[in-house]
Amino acid sequence: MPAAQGIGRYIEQIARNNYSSLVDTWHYGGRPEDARACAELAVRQHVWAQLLQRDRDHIPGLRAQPVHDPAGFWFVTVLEDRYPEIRAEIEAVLDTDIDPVQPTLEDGWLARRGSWRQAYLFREGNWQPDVCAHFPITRSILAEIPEVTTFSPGVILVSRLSPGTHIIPHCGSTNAVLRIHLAIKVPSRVSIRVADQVMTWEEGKCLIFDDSFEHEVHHDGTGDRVVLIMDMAHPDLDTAHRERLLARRPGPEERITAFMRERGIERIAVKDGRIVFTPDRAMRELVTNYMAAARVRAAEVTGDQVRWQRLEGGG
Amino acid sequence: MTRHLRQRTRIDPPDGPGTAADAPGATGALARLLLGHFRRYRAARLQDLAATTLRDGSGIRGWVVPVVNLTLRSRRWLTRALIIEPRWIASRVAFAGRGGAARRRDQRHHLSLLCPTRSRVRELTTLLRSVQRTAHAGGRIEVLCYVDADDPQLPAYRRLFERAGRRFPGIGRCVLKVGDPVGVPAAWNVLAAAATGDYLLMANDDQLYVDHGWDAALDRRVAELTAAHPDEVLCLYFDGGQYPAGGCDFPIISRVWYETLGYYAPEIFQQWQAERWIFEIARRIDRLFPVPGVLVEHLHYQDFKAPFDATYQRHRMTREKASADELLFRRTAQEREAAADSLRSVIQARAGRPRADGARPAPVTAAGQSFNGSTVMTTEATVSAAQDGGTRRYIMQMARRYYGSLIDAWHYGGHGENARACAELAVQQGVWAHPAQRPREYIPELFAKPVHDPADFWFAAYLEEHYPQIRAEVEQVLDAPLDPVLPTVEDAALIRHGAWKQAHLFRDGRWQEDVCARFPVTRGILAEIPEVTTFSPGVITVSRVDPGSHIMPHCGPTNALLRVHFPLTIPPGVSIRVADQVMTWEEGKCLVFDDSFEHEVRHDGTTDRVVLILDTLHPDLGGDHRERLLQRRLATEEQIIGFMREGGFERIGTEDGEIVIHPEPALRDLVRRYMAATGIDGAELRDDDVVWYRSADRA
Repeated sequence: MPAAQGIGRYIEQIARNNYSSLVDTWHYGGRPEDARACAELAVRQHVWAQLLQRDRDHIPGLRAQPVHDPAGFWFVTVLEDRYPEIRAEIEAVLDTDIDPVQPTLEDGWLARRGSWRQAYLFREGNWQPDVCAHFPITRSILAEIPEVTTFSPGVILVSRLSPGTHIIPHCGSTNAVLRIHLAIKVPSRVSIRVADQVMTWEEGKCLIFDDSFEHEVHHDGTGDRVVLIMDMAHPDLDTAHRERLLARRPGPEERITAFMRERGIERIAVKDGRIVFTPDRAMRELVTNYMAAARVRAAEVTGDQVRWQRLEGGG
Repeated sequence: MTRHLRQRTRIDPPDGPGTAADAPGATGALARLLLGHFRRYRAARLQDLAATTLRDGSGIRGWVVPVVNLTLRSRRWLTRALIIEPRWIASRVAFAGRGGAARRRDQRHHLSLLCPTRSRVRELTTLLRSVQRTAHAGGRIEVLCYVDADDPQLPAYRRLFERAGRRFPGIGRCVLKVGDPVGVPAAWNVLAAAATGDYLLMANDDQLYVDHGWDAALDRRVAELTAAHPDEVLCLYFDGGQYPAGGCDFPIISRVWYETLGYYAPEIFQQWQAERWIFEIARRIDRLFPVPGVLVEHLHYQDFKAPFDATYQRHRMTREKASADELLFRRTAQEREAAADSLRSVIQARAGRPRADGARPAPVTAAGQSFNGSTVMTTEATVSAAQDGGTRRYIMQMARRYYGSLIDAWHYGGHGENARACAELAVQQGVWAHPAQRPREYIPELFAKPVHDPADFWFAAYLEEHYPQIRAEVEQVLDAPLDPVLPTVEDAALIRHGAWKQAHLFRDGRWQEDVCARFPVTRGILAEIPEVTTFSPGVITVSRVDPGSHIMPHCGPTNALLRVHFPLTIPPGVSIRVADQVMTWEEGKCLVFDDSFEHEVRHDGTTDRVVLILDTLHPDLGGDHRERLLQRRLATEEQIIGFMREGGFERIGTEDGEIVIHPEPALRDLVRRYMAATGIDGAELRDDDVVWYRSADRA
């Protein structure tokens, strides 16, 4: 167990985050051998137990296997039985004027070439009404599967890759979640590698893998590849962890707190009907320094417009 | 000496505390403006004062500007008589001595000077006269001037140009263009469109050509450069040694350049970014060249070289305009890259063509690949090669950042051996050159050694001479009421135990007035050292470390600066390690080190250790880097804007003595959504606890 090696939980967390970013950076820069060298050093330093499973948020004790057998999950048959309806509905929407499947911003950097488009039906514990409006049948089918909705720690999305796309090697953020791919449209010459297994999808069939293992996708075919992606909690997860995972999921309170810590805000309050933030000590010092250096009392940024409220006088 | 310094500090208040700075009376304004004759009193605020005083011309301070201008005119006259005239004569003699005619084989290029002017007939006349008398072959020179149709001196300009042929027979032709008041950059473009020269020289009515034979020097430089760059995509500037390293002004561009881009100066800026725009494009394609040894004087009021007049008032630099332009400049990098690309394709196209004289084509392209006569790289290939360079830089930047945080974390956790392993791998991967030198901003070409010899810096001896006064003053302030030397927040993560207290006297290019108020003597002494003030990229800090403190191993953020420690109080049992050298301070003796090398401080003594820390630019730093560092320092406004954008803040300000931040609309809506979802209307973090406010609590 890494923590047992005496790294300390806090340091271990920082080390995982920075090693992850570092490995991502090398892959992004097209230097896989440097990425590997970093991962190897991290394993030697007990940051991770294995070279190819490098999640930032790691729960010890879960069965670690890159690919899981779909036969172990009851809902796989439901999804595969209803595949024709789901495919018909998705195909009818793609490339229309109202197509919600749009180029991804958050994961865009992972696509070295080509284009990666996504639309989220479900995230942070909630159906996304704007997107779901286009997929009523799919939604009703999914609503019957609590594992990927009510108890889902993740997302449901339609994922579309154009020919020529290469999604560079990367790891998901936690081993507590398994990822299900229901293959909707799969042209020839596409492949996904998870750890050391290279596979391809089969239309209408589910592929279940642990995305905390390094994975990458190559699309050297001609038509678009479309997959419906769903997340579920790892089956080995105990109740306490499961609850923590779910609790973390939507929790506006946690979101607010995390947001405040991240931005250095000590207090959020409503004052005269407006939301105002009070900075914490470090941020207060920073802002005070800035304002003294620029000799301003206040600054306002609206779009491209900047307004300064100067201190009076020249002294 | 002490008395002398005290007196100095008393005079100091042009910027200092203690003057009635808000509304100086007429005499006060006069005194402060007159002090501007000395460079050290010339601050941006002085310009503001000059501007208000000028605007206030009819009021009680009406007589101030004429008096100041009188002194400025005398100064200008003296400069001409004592410096410029002798230099011109000397340059003439030197030119003759070098055998001016020997360079006749250099092709004589036609030159166009583009000169917008307003209400300065006399100054323009002086400029024309200086051009005429310093040109070696003035017949191929044309001077084009733009005058606004609403200029009150337009009739006088017309008279000047009617007689220009007779008054300036040494100049090929003088052309007057009259048009709408479109602003200086647009005027340059109008003039460039009318110009016929091979080279287009940016000019202004407050310039003065000083050195003889500047035109021949330009011919010769162009001849040298076209041998290496037959495409003639060139940008030059006259460099008489007057610019601080890396500086340049008044670009000269070739006709190929002008015709490729289709304009001379960008018109989008309110102020003086036009030159910077041209120079920056030239740097992108590596085609910026000085014409050394030619002085073209710029008689600008900001340097107290010209009287304040209405034209300066009209174009006066303001912070608002400057920061808006600065933002705009940064946002338009892509447009400059596009311009650079057009120029690159010309370079490519012309390099691919065999030269008329049968010489081999230039062997290396901008992308660093050889031509073997088989393939000619397309523009597209060049672009992607350039982008790869950019990506590589970005990757290295990110890698330095993540490695930096990782190594810091290992040190923080007490895992020195893990930190070392990471540093060594980073060096193997080319992230840094040395495992003990790990700045996040890394300039590889700088000479790197952990400790420098204080004897190489003149001001070390100067500081040491003033040690008793500085120590006395600092000691008096420490632990007195309102002691500004307080526990550091920004560097707090670096100490595991003990306490580290700091007070910044200088940072971001400015004196910190509230701290300096407590250290007037020290400030007076430091103000004499431009290397740690005017040209300092960093801070001046009083640093106090408590017994028992351990400042963990860490590296400074950049190798572009050196850190000077001036030890004030050093008890036994303290040490500093820089890379592999463990040292201790000696009271009153400077220690100069490169803080981009890993360093740590241990204090196992019994009383506080006090050091005055000063930053100075790395002595090898030249040109671009130096200018960029100093510029970055000055753009506090830019930093604030970036900080606000990053945080999603619309407004920062003070309300009821508290700093208050207003979120931008998108963030505000997000917070409202969360608040609605949870039924709270406020939240407060108290260390690890969160306190939720609900409307019900208050009802």
